Order: sequence, then structure tokens, then C-alpha cells
Amino acid sequence: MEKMDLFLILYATLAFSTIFVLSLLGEDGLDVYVALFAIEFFIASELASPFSAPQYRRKTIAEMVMLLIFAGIVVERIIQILG
Amino acid sequence: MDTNQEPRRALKRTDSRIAVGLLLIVVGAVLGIPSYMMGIVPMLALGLASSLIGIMVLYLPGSASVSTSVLTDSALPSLLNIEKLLQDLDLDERGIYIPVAGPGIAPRVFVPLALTPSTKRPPLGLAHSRRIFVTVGKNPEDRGILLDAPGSGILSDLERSLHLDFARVPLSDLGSELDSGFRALGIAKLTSLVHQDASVRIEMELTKLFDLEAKLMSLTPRLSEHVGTPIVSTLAAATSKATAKYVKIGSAVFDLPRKKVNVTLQILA
Repeated sequence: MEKMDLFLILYATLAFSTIFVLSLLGEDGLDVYVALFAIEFFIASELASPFSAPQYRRKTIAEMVMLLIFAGIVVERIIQILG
Repeated sequence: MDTNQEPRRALKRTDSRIAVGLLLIVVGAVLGIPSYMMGIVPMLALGLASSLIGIMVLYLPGSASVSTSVLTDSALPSLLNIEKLLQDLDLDERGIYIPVAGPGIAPRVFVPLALTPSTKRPPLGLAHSRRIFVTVGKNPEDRGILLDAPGSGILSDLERSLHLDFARVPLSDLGSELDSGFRALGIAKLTSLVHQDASVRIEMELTKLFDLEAKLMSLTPRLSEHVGTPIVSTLAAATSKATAKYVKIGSAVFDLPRKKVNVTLQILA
């Protein structure tokens, strides 16, 4: 199987399992789901690595976006706690 | 026949990727928008995840697929030229891979005119020489030709995809690193690497480039035996970097039906 396909299947499995488990637990915060999607992206990408050079370049950009989203959620939570 | 179908299969694969990606985005939007309006968070998350995966399927590329027949046709003439050069100069000694260090830097191959004390251990500085015909000693027979390893491009690709320098990889880890790298490039699987005394035996199963390797074995016997085909040369170059020693190709045996190659490398003390 191609590395990128393995990554996508792994990521989809992790993301959909998260939704299943969190909905069973009655979690209602969208930010929790999104933060976990971001973390799972990094887990799946590490498990499926190494990638070829062009794949790696694109994946790095996607990782930056995921990191920004995750950081945004964390900052929002900190502001909520402090406020 | 296999090589003719390859571009068509790659095109079909790209089409199916686009279809799957778009389908996931549409399903995500159909699930997500009403869920957002009704405030059903798990369903909204499901829509979001579906769209996210769809975007990734479209954005992240599959491995670049260039037909191996095109690759073979483009690489063959230049390697045939080296074969002719080796024949014209009547070089019968095996090439010596000169160790180097640094990511993306591949060892060069020194093919001596005759084996003398000087040509057995060519100076390390030779790896950075830009000349083809070099003299490494005081005597007229201390000469040879200096070539870029046929596997230097593949070696650089391996290091780039693994984000490492083979010069920093211990020989005990070389097998697993090469296997990961070759799999990432989608050209081969390394089945075993055995280090015994001054020799390293490597067994590989090729998934791509087999046509090129097989053609080179028959059309360029001298190059294949003394310098190595691209895959064999990659293995010799990686071993030379990892051990920081001179390396020679002992033998390279191709198992045509099973697409396997057994390579024996000699590490020179």
C-alpha cells in the first residue's frame, strides 16, 4: 500500500473513532473534537512516515495549518479560563 | 505489456482519488451544515472530519508515477556511454566507492587502470574532484577514472525522504533505514542485510526499475560488474557512507522471475 493511502486510512480511522467515542461520552464541545483531529493528524503522519520529498512538502504545510488550529483552540481555552 | 498499462493505471488512480476526495467533501457538507443549524455537535464533527479527510485526499499527492519504460529509455543511453568508455579504456578492475559524509552527498566511484598500492586506496579528497581522468600516485599506472555513482540520485532521494545522512547511520541500522527509504520511494523492499567480516550481503525485491536493471545487466556487463547498476550502486554508496570505508561490489545476482537481487559488497580495510 502506498504511504499516503496508509496515512489517509489511519487518519480517517482515528478521526471517526474519536467521533464515536466522544459522542458516546456525551461531549458537546466542538473544540475538543477539532483539537483531537489535529493531534491525530500528527500521530497518523508519524506512523505512516517516511514520505517521498513532494509528499513531505505538502504534508508539512498541512501540519502547519493543523498546528495553528490546535494553538488557536488552546489559546481560546486559556483566555476562557483567565477571563 | 505491464509497462504500457502503467500510465493508464496511474491516470485511473488519480481520477479515483479526485472522486473520493470530492465525495467526502460533499458528504461532509451535507452532514455538517444541517447539524450546525440544529446544534448537533457529534454530527457536525462527523461532517467536519469527512470534509477534512476529503480535502487531504485532494491536497496530498500520491507518489509521482512516471512510466518505468520512460525512465528506462531516458537513463539507458547515458549508462551505455559509460559502458563504452569502460570498454575503450579496457578497465577491468572493480570500482572503489570513496566514502563521504553529509546529507545529499553521494560517494564517487574510482575505477583504477591497474591495482597498485596507490589505486587500492584512492585519496578521500578525490570525492570532491571534478575531473574524470585522475592520477592518484607518482607512477604512470596509478591512474583511473572517477565517476559519479549511477545510484547517486537514488541515494540523495533516500536521504531526503528519510531526513538523514547515511554517514551517521550505524551499519546495524542500515538495513531498516534502506528498507524504509526504498519503500517510501516505492521502488523496492529490502529483505535482508547481513554483515559478516568484511562483506555485506543484501537481498532486495524490486517493485520498480526492474526492467532498467535487467536491461543494464545484459547491455552493460562491464558497468554492472565494476561500477554497479543504479540500485546496486545505491547500496554500495550507502554502505560506503555508513561504514566510512572504501567499498567494492563483490557480486550482483538478479533473479529475473522473482524480481529479486542479491548483492555482495566488500568493505575494504
